[in-house]
Amino acid sequence: MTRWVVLAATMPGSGLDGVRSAGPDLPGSVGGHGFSWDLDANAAPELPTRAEAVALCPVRAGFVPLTGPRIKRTLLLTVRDGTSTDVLAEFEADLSAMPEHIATIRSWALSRVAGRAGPASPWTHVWEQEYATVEGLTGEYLLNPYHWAHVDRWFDGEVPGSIVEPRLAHVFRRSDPPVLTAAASD
Amino acid sequence: MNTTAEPAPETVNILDQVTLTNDQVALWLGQFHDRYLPGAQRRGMRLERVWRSPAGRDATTVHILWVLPGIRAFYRMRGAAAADPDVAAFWAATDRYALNRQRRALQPAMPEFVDAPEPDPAAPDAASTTGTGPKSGAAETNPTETDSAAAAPTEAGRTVHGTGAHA
Repeated sequence: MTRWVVLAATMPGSGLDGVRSAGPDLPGSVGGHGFSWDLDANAAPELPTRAEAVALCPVRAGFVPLTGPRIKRTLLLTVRDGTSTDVLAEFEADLSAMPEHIATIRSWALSRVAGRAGPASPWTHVWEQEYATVEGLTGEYLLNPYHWAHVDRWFDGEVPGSIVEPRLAHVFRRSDPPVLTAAASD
Repeated sequence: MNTTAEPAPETVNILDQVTLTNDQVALWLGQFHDRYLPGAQRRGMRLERVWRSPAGRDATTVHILWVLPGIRAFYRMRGAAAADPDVAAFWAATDRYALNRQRRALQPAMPEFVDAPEPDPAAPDAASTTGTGPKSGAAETNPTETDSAAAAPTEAGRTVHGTGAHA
């Protein structure tokens, strides 16, 4: 069973199986279509119009128990064509180390895109986290120096050696059930 | 190993280092002044210092220190720069002939001295003692104090950067 992330303009239909969680994106989200879903499926899910889906191939993940509702954040990004495997590995390692520095990150998962559904999309990676509060994402996560003074260099087009294309999809929403579970970190 | 973010520092510094052959330095500085500096200032970057240092027998490194009034100002700057094709064009042109280029974002590591230590009147040459703190020189300019708007709770839910943002 493959985990999928869907960016859509509506909630999933009631007949769609395998939905872990779905909901409207919160203010401050950019690059999405208004809603994001997380689901498990063996094949590409049937999508409404104005929706795109990516299948996830896990790179690394971590599970931190969190009771109650949480904030699920999803970042879709594109690593520039031609990036060497060594540089890509360093980038993935830097992202994966963010939870070691940023206490508000609970469960997290870094994945490569293994498949797509819907209109052609450029995404190569999906970087996901869960937070107990919105402020954990919009505060500590953004303000931590490991993020802005180290990891951000991969995203900053003014820094030589940046590898991430400017177009991103950064969406976050409330989720009652956990999305990133212990199984995701295996 | 959490490097917990303390309350946002008052300043974020950006250090650009561009290494050029000596015969290109004046040209590049002119291009920087005309094509990059105005936009950078509109994006909230204050030019703090420009230095140069020899980088070899026929090379010079230009060091440029910028100041931004906080991390949220940094992200706003990043978003504005990502949305401006002239920024990418300037650096692409630079990179066609620069020998090397680096940019780093910096966080203050030591509290700034507010006042220079008072000279000891009993010490020899006390009259010639100059201040030793970073703010003691006449040419020093103080970074902008905390941008309260950047740190206000109302910033928390606002998108402070558009496309081409951050991790």
